[in-house]
Amino acid sequence: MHKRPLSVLFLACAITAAPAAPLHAQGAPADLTDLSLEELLQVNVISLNVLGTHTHLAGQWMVSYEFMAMGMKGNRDGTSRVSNSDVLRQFAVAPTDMSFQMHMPALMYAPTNDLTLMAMLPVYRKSMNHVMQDGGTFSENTTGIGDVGLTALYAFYSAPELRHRFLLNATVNVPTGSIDETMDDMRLEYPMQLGSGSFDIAPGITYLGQSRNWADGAEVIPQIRLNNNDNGYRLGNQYRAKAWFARRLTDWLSASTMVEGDITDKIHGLDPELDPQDEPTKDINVQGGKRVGLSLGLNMFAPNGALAGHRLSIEGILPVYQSLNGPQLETDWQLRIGWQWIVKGFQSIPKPSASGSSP
Amino acid sequence: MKRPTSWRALASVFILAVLITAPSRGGAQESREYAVKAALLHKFVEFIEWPSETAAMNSPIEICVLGQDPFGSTLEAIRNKVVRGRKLAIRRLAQAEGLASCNVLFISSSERNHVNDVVTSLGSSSVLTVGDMSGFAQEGGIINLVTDGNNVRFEINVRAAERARLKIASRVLNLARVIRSDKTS
Repeated sequence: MHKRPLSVLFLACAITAAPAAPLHAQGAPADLTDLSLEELLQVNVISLNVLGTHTHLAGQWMVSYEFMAMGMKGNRDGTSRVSNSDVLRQFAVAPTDMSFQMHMPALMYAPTNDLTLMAMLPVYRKSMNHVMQDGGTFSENTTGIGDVGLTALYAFYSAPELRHRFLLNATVNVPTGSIDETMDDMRLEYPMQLGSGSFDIAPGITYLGQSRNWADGAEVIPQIRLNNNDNGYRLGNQYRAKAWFARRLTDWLSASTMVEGDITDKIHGLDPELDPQDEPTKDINVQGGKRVGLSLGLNMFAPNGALAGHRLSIEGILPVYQSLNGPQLETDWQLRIGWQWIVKGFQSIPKPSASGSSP
Repeated sequence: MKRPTSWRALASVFILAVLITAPSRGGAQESREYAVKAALLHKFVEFIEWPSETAAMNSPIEICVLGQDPFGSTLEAIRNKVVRGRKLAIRRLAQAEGLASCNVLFISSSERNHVNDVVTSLGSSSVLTVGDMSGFAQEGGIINLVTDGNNVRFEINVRAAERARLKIASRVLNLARVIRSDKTS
């Protein structure tokens, strides 16, 4: 079951590891004295980014793309697994597995060193398989844009030498994703919809720590749903927390580990087109729960050459604890791949000059 | 049954990826960070004015490195560069002797416990002290190079610069985090 995503992870690691040799060669001593003082301060010297919250220097623009895939198979009630037949004793249909993919382009801009702004547009692809009481099976699929996210990150405290920073993290999600996805003219269940249908705010706090060879961080971000949507319900609030640690392995590569957890409330209200007796994914009381996952990641950075300013991060995440308001599909694995490119405000290192002597 | 297999597979992939990339470990980290720091030393010489009595136009500008040299070969990139008509010379010092004849003194982090002694011994000598360690500017050093996220930035102790009678261009000060500390003993 896990062969495919892990093969992808392996392949991605191998491909991204391949540029090591040329990058290393280009990372040899270079004559930087032709750069202005301001340009020297924009040279990227450390590769310690972890997928997630980060800030930029004033004037920098960054485009990024994140791919996330998640596999869910089998149902769980609380912390215990339950079989399909257990689910079918309570409901007419049981979900058996779900694959979830997210493609998320984003744009970041820093008007000042203390403020970074970001806009994100997720595109989802969801697929869920079901089994019925008579043994028949069927699949449902949805694809489309989700809710647009607008984020401001403000550094309100920076310790001397900037080794410790605290950021206010404010996100507003605009309900651009559909909540009217159907199949055969039947409204699809809550988890198969693409948006929340409501305005959300996510006011959080982030800690970032960094020294020459390590970086760590932690954040707590509650996601608050502000209003009932047009279909008469409001997804449950979500309270997310994570902490991470990254260690520089080489000049262009770091490894990271992260523990992340969330508590998701049940749905409030009810979509009258969804019959809660039909299947658990249509029952507002069988949503949400608590999850904790642990990830390992590699983060790569090209300081110069044709790919100067590009970053690539790969994370594999496995659950270590799940207590679900079930029966509900459990998460088996997650894979995240992130690409970032500082398009303006990044200074690459010049190619080594023939002689390092006089100008 | 499923989870241990997944953990082993994920751990194997991670270790394998690290092993694949491991051969490139080594000098690159030092080279890029310290290549930037060496270039900054060159820029500081360009934008800082020494008192006229020490500006002997025929002699080179001496950049000294006290303690364990973190620059490696990157410092060679600025050796013999000409700044304001004078060549840059590099001198590496194992001991804190003859420091007053340096124009720029980079105090290595290996001398972390002696920063205050070195700064005190320099008194009001016109030596631009530079370091890259925690608390260097607060200890009386003039310029401390720090990493901010993925970039090198610097702090300037303006009181220490005044004591050394060094005039620092506003262009440099505008880019610095300014510190005012009188601590020298």
